[in-house]
Amino acid sequence: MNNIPFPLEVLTEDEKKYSPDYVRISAASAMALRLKSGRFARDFSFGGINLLLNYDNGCLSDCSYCGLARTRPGEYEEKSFIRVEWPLYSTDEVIERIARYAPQMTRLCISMVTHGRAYRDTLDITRRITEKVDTPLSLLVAPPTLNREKLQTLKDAGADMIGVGLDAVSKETFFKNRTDVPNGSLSWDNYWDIIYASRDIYGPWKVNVHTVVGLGETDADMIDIFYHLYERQIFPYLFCFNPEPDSRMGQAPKPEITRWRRIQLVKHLIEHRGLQRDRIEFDADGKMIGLRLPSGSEWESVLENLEGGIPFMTDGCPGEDGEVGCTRPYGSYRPTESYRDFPFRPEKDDLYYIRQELKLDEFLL
Amino acid sequence: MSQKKQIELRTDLYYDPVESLWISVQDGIARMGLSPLLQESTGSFVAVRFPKPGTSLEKGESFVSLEAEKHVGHLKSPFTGVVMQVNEEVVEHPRLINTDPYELGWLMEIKLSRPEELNDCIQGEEAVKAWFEAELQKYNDKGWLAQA
Repeated sequence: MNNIPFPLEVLTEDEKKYSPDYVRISAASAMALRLKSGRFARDFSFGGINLLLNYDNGCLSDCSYCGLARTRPGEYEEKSFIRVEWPLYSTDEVIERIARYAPQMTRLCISMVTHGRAYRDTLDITRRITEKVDTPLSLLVAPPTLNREKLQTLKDAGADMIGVGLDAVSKETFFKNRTDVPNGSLSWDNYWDIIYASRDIYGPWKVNVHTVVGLGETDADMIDIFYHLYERQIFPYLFCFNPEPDSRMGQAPKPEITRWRRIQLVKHLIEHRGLQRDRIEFDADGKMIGLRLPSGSEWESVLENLEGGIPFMTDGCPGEDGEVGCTRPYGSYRPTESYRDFPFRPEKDDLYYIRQELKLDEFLL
Repeated sequence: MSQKKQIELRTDLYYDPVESLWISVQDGIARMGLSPLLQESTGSFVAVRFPKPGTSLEKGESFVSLEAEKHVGHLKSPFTGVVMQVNEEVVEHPRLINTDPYELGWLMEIKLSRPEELNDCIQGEEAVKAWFEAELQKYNDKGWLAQA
């Protein structure tokens, strides 16, 4: 056998190392920064880099749906998060890469975990990033680790947006999935205190709240939280539940596609077209059963071209150009499944399938 | 700091330049798998689907479906023939394709109906090396490979 060794300029993952000197980054981020080989099923530009703090004992919360939950089997280092691996690299190496590929970068985000060192290390990494690069930086915060003063310090260090992973949008579902859990319970009130404090400190449309469809909420819960947040000039960002194997919700189904598409559409209409709540019909269980659009050419056009597919694109923090900068490709669906949220503008064929999934003829009143 | 790694190119095999498959032939049966460059550039595999043994294939016909973390694709058969055997181990453990593409990560065996189709493959140390270097450059230009 003749073997020729070809040195590949590929870096392997580091061994056990912890934040702030080491961070995990999403598989897509590692590919965009060319720290990891790989490619996307469809060709599109990608520059939304997600960093995740890394500790030996991981996240101290224990949310039923999360890949990082304390009681999910396996070592923290081996756990997937939103179903993919998050390779570990030196923080400075990641920042050097972000600087190297700066023209392609659209948005950076540091995800905290619930851990005693999370605030201190997030601040450290924020400062390291903002010293070296100008790409806008969001923080996806862990409310139990923060207060107003710390939020202000993070802003002063250069973070321009705050995200809060509320995920479960009603008090009931939050309690069930995040409070009444085997270890590390979280508080609904604490989350909202941090949401409102962030809004005060960072300003209008500089705070977002992650809302996950599929954790047991009703459609009415979801729609109500959209209105509640928009009224306060806070963005709701929409996420689709995607079961993490071996998590306590590992066997739970994803939300049915028609439900998901309708929520995407209605959320867009509320945000961009000022759709009034009384135009949405619910049944006694809070299920959305109909939409009564105002008459007029503007609304006819909405239905005709589905807003060019924009409602079905990923919800995420913007880049400097105002377009979505954090697109999380294949974050809530496998490459073999239909795109739950598109990291690019859906094409003609995509819109054809989206229209079928929406079943508008059964939905419009 | 991170460590550099290297991939090994076996030059005693045939290579299908269309799909970047390695091929070894014995008694008219071709065993095949992904070239180390193709596996590296696709990412971590999470699922593989094969036709059943006994299935007849035409050259150019889609025959294997591969799903990686962020990618899904179909491979086209380099040969006309009949599927003799598929590697059930990679169905159970798709990462074997990444960790051992030439040995444990082989994909399937086909009985060749037209052995002359092997002439479309690349063979010989110099030719294989030249082809691989060109492929390496192409994959790098597309941004599919990590860089130091």
